Amino acid sequence: MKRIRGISSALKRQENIVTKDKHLSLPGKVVLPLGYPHVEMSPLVQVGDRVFAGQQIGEDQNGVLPPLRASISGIVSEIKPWLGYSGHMVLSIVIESRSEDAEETNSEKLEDKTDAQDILKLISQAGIREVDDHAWPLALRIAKPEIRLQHDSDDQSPSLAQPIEILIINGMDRQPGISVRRRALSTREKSLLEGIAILQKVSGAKRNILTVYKDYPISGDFEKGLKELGVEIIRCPNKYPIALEPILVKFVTGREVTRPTWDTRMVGTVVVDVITALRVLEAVRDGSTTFETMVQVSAPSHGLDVYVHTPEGIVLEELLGRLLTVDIRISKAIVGGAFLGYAQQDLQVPITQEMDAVILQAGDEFSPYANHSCISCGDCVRACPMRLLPNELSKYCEYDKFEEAEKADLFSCIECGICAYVCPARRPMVQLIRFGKSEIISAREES
Amino acid sequence: MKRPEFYVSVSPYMHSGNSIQKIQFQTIAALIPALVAGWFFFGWPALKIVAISMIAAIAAEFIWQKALGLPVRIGDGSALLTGLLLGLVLSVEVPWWLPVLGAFVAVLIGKQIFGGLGNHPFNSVLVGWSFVQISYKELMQYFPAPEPAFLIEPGEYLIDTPLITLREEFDMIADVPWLDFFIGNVPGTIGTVSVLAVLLGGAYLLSRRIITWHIPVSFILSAWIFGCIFWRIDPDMYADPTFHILSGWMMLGAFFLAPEKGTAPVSAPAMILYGVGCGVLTMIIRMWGGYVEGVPFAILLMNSLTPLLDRIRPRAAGRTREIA
Repeated sequence: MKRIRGISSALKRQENIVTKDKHLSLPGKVVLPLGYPHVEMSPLVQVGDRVFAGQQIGEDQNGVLPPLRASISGIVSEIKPWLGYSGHMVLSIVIESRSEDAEETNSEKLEDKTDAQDILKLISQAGIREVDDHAWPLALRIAKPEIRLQHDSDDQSPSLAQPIEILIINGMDRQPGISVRRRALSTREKSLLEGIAILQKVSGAKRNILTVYKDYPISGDFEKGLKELGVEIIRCPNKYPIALEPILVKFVTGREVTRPTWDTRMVGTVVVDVITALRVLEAVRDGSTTFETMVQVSAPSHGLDVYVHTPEGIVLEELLGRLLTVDIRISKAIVGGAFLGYAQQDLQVPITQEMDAVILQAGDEFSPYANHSCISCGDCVRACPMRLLPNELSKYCEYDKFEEAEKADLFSCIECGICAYVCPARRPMVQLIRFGKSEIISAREES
Repeated sequence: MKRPEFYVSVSPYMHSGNSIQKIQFQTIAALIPALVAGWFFFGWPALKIVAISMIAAIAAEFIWQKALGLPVRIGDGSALLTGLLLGLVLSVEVPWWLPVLGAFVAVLIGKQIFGGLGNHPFNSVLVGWSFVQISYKELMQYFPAPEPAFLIEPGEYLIDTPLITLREEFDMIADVPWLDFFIGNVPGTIGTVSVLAVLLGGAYLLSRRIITWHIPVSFILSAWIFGCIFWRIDPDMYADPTFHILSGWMMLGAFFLAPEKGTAPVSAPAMILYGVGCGVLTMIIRMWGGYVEGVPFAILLMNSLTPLLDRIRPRAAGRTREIA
C-alpha cells in the first residue's frame, strides 16, 4: 500500500443536514434505456404490450449485457430514442403505469440450488447494472473460469479464463458528497454478509477484502461475521478518488490495471460495490428481478439530502416533483455526482441503476470555468491520481496537438476532475481532455 | 408548459476555491515582513521606491492590455506582485525613474510579450532587474548603511553589502556578528537584507501551500553544501557557507523568485534538480563570477532549463506494459 494522490473526501460537509430515507410510491411512467450509446439492446416488446414488473423487455444479442427488465407493471406506450444522462440518445422503452396490472410474477428462486453455476445464472438473468464502469458486466466478471456462462463459452476472453485471486467488496462511495454505499453498508450489514458469501462461492477468490473509509465505524457483530467468512477489512484514506476501480485496485493489491480495457481480471482481481453485492443477494435468495434503486438527492443550498428509494426509470422531473414540497429555484441539475456526473439540460432524464446521486445547485453555487491560459503552477500535477501532467495535456488538447497528447498518456486519464477542482486559473480541464479523446477516436474511426 | 432553465457545464461541479488572485495576493502578503524590514532599516525612502515600482508595473500592464484590446487583468495581482518584488530587490539610493523603467521592462518584456501570466519563460522580475542592473551599473552600486528605526543599534561593521565586502575585504566578514546578517542590520537592498523577514514570508507561503518545499530546500541546501566543500578545502579563500546562506538574495531567491509559477518546473524530481542547479550556479557566480551576487543570474539560467526539466515525468498509471 502506498500514499495515494487526491483530495480529501470530506468536502464542505454541512453538519446540520439530517439525511433521511424516503420511499416513493409507483411512478406514473418509467423510461428504460436499451443499453448504452454504443452498445444497444433490442426490445422484446412492442408499443401497446402489457408488461409486468420483472418481465424481460430487452436483450443484448451479443449476450454481454444483462437483460433489461421492466421495473413496474403497465403498458408500453412508446419505444423511441430518449436523451440519456450523459447527453447521448439511447433507444428507450417507456412504460405507463397501470396499478390494476400489478401482480406477482413467477420468478426462479434459489430454494435448493447451491450449485455455483445455477447461482451465476440467476445473477446474470437478474439484470443487475452497476454505477461504476467495469470492463465486464457483473455476471461475467465475478465468475470463476470453471463456471463460464454458456453463451459466452465460444469466444472467451483470455482475462476471464484467469482464476480470480482477490475479491474486493467496496464499501466506499465514489465521490465527495455521496454516501449511498455507506448508508447501505450501515443499514444492511447482515444481508451484506450473505451477499458476500454468494460472491465468494461464485468467484472462488482466495483473498476476500472489504474496503471501507478509515473513519467508518464497523459494529462488532459485523466484524465477527466478516471474520467467519474470511474477509479482511482494509481501511482506506478518506480521499477522493480512492473508490474508483483502477486506484482502488492499485491501493489495495499493489497491482496496476492497464489501459485501454482497464480490465481488473487481467490482474486477477474483481471489485464489487456493496450495493451490487446486496442486489446479488436479492437476485439469488429472493429471485428478485425488479430493482428499486437508491439515489441520493441533495440540494446543499436548501438543506436537502435524501436517499430516495424508487423503481428505476423514473424521470427526474417526476422524482423531484414528488420530493420537493416547496418550489425551489434550481439552476443546475447534475445526475451522477459533483465530480463524475453530468449537468442536465432538462429534467426528462430517467434515473436508472447506473446513477447514485442527483445534485441540485442554485445560482450562486457553481464554479464557472474561465478562458484563462495555464499558469503552470503544477497544482494539478501534484494532485493527479494517475500520475499524469494534466497541465500539459490540457494545453495539447487546447491547441489541437492530439498526437502529442496521446503520447503523453491522454488515455490514462480517468476524468476524475481533480485537476479542474484544484486549478487556480479555473481551466475546464475535463472538457479539454474529453475533447482531445473524442477527436483522436473519431480520427481513428475515419482512417 | 414552462420549462425551467438550466445551466449545463462540464464536470466537476465543485471547485477548491483557489484562484490566481488568491495566490498572488497571498504572496504579496508574504512579502509584507520583508517590506517592513526594509522600512525599519532604511526608512521611508524604501516604501517610496517600492510604491513607485508597483504603480509603474500596474500602469505598464494596464497600458499594454488596453492597447492590444485584451481583457484588463490588473486585478489579479500579478503586476502588483511583480512591482513589489522588483522594488524589494533595489537599493533605496536609486533614482525614482529607475524602478519605473525596471517595472516596464519586467511587465512588458518579461511577461506580456510572451502572452501574459503563465507563458513567460523567464522570471519577469529578474528580467526587469537585469535590464536596469546592466544598463545603469553605476546607479545600482550604492547601498546605504542601515539605520534601524528603533530598539537596535545600527550595524556599523560594514560599509558595503556583505557580498561586495567579501570580494574586497575578505577578512572583515568574520568580524560581523551573524545576528546582524540574520535580522538584516547590514547594507543591502530593501527586501533581501533581512533573512528573518523573508523566512517569515517563506514559511507563510509553505503553510498556504503556494509553494512546496522542494525548490527552497534544495536551493539553499545545495548552495550550503557546495560552499562548504570549498570552505573546508581552503577557509582563507572561501567564506563560511552559512555566511553565503545568510547574505544577499539567497532567501528571497529561494522562496519567492525561483519558485515563481510558470518559470519553474512542476514535478517533484524536476523541482529538486532545478533547486540544486540554482544553488550551485549561485555559488559558482559568487565565488568566481563577474558579479558579486549570483542568485538572479542563477535563477534566470535555470529558468531556461525548465522546459527540459519538465520532461522528467513519472510513468503514467495504466500505461500498457508488454504482455508476453
